[in-house]
Amino acid sequence: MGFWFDAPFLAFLDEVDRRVPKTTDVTVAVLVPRSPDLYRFQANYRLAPRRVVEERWKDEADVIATYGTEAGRGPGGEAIPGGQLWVRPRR
Amino acid sequence: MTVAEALARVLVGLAGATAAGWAVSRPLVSGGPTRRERVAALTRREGVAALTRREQFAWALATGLLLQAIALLLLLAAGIRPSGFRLLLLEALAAMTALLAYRPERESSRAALVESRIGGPRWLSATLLGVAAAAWLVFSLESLGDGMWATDFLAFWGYKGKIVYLTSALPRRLFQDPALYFAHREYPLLVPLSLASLAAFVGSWHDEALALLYPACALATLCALSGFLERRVSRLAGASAAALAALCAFLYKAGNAGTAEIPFALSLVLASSAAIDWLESDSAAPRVAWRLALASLFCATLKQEGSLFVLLLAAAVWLRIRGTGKRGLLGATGLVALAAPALAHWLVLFALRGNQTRRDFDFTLFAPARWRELPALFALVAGRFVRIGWTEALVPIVAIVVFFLVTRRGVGEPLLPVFPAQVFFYAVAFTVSSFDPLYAIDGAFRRITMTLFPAFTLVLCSREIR
Repeated sequence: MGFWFDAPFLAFLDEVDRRVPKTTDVTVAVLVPRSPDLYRFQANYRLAPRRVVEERWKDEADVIATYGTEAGRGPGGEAIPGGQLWVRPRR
Repeated sequence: MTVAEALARVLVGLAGATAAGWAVSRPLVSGGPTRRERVAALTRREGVAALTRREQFAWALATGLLLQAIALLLLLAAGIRPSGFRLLLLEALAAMTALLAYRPERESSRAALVESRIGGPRWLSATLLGVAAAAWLVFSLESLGDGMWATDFLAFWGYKGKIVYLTSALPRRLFQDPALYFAHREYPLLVPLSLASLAAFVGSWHDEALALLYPACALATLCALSGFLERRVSRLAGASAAALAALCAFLYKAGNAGTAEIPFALSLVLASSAAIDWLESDSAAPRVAWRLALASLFCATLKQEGSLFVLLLAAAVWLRIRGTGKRGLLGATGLVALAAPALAHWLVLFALRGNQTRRDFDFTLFAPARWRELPALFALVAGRFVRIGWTEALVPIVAIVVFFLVTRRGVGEPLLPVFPAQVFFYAVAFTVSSFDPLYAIDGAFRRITMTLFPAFTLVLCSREIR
């Protein structure tokens, strides 16, 4: 029931969850469609305890994951189910 | 880990909390009626007795959830990773201390002194209890059938619980990170802490098994309703209230598993029943005042509306005791018992999370320059309330009005004004909503109003046919 709005989004989040370390000091910017809000809420919930932020805080992110948005068309990202993933080298 | 194994572990967590809660709440819920209650009961030929076992179970669960949350916070404060064993150890310590400190007198541990009234055909009471049990079973299966998915669970109740469990801390980020602007940093924490505690029993965050908290709270609510009304009114009244509450499909549905609504409904029932007991009992019975205090704390730690409810309850109690023998210091005890825990909880939460802006509300609307906007907004909100009542709840509303016309006052009558007053303040809150009031109403009104219904059945089912 939790992904009634977009079933493939679960596979996307599972893949991000698998690839990104499960630590609190990792910030993941998840770029998703603006509505419904459930995209953001599911991303936060599924990827906890990592810090998950929206596009406006992407400069703070170690990882950027895009799903179903134009922002996913940039170069250099790795393709994952339904989107792209960019891992920024640790500062 | 299989779902069955995870469920068994959550059950151990809930059973441990309930057992510790039983030991700690025993001085408040055990003991027979006072002398005045016995005399009054015999005079009125009414059934007033010690709290029923069903009520004791409900109080034990509520107390246990509070204890478990405190135990979790103690472990977190000490930097110790919470586990089921450690939580059980702390709960056992609290229970043993309580058992050693309180030894009930022989007289007060006696069972019911007056046989409770039947109130109607036994088969009818049995059928109604059967309906309540069936509805509870359906709700339980429905909520355990899938991981919790309610929007509010994902956005804050479950999210905070998961963060607390996975980090073994109460990170400042939950209260300070601007990226969590939607996570209601100002909300009370009992639900997240309870979910995190139960997850410690499972050993992982298993959101399907953690949903067991909700059938447990629903069961305790039905037990509290049927037990209280059986003790104060009749067996039929208790069974009717349990059936009515259990059939409240807007509240007891899988979509509310994971939110605070179902535990909150339990807290409102406990607070209301304690308030009626306090009004009806000997004014020198401190255990009833302590029950009020416990219920007040439970209400306030679950939802912000809980603090509002106990303050309205305190106002209703104050109105009732004016002109009675409970004026003065003894009368004030009940009011303090209701107001002080809610206030103390707010202060603790404030110290923990600091000052938080309430993004739900635009308080500038209360500034004199904007007062003229309020009537139109309030009319818009009230109009929406009426429309929802007219299109979705006309039959139950008419049934309630007719029921009030054909019945006479019951013991729950003094609490009647609390419920419309609570809904009025919901209207005020929607009026000053930061968002479109109609959007806010459509998103929350039905859910938050339905949490009042089980407690309202106390008023409803305490009435008697003319």
